[in-house]
Amino acid sequence: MSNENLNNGLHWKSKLDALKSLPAEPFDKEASWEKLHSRLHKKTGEKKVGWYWAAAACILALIFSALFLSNGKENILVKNDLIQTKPKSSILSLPVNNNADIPVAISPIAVEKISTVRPYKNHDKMIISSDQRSLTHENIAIKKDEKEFTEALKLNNTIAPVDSQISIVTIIPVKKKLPVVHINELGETPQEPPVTARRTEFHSLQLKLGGQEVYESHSANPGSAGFTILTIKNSPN
Amino acid sequence: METSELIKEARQGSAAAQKYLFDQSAEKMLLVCRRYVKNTEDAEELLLNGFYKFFKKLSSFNYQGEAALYTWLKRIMINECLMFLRKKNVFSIVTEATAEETSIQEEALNNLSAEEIFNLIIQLPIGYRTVFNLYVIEGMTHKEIAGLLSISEGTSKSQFSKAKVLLQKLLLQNDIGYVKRKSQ
Repeated sequence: MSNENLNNGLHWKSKLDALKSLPAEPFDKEASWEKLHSRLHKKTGEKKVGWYWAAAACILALIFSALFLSNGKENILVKNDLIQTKPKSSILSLPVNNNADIPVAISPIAVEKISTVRPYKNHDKMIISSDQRSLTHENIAIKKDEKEFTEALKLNNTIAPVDSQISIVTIIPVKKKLPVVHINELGETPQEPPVTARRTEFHSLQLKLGGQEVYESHSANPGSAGFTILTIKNSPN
Repeated sequence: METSELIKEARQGSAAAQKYLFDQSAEKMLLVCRRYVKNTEDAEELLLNGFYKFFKKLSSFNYQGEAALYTWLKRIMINECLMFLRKKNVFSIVTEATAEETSIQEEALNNLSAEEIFNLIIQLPIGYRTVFNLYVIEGMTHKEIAGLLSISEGTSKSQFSKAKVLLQKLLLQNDIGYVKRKSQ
């Protein structure tokens, strides 16, 4: 028997359509209607509640966005302050204690690392803070190497310092020519150490690494103790 | 009151008209649902879901006679049942197999009463029963069934074949009167 014959020949559809109710299975029509009726009317109430929730969510979103925007404005103001205090010059040359014979210059690479300049509690000192170090202009001089130093000098002649809070003075290092004295002229005087080694107030440690001499210089000013500066100097050899 | 007027009032939200329409066709629709799902509780739940959708969509229905209304309502109920079965993932276990021809006794089946037919159908497993209902009772083609149940046409055919074999076995097991008549 083919499927089509079964479909058309049995007339089960008409027989089942004629069936009025479930055989041996009671059906409470009234109870079902009550459920359906309550559901039909309950859903509208749920929709209204949904609208209330949506409105509440919108209000909350507005409040949060307003708070977020106000915080954003504050951040912008802080940023502006930082920009105003940031030194505009690419080269910062600081005055040096007259007792020290060390040239003072901060190369552009060093200046780039400086993020903010803020006044220290002691108004005589100005602290230049960066993410890696703190420097005072009274007793600190950093010289990376000779090449950077000459570049700094070139730039210093062309770019005028702008920052008004810090007095920027460019000091060209003066090369001191030591007098040439024969050893016999010294007589029996006790053998003195070289000038750089004798001046222990500036150099207490002397190292030689490759072709360079590294000095650990102590602060000349006793009031600003606590800083240690390593100075690299090319050996004449 | 005529059915067209009842539908108009039901569209406007009249609870009395809605109740009248529900009372008229609830039991028949419950039979339809019961043919697709295993127990009466599920069938009643699906009946309520179907009527809920019917009343909600009534505004879009173009009344063209009681037969059209009945067909539309029945279609809603069958869709509800198929959605319910799909959620339960009953069709995933249906595997493709070769449709085998069976020699079911046509005369014997023709002699079955409506109640006997109904009781036989609800004893079939869900997969067989769904295909059997859609093919024999609703008059769909295997292609339509395959699209509706997301199965292949061959699977639909094989499911129908197996359903027929199982029906024959059930007839013999249940020792229905026609077997006695046939054996005599």
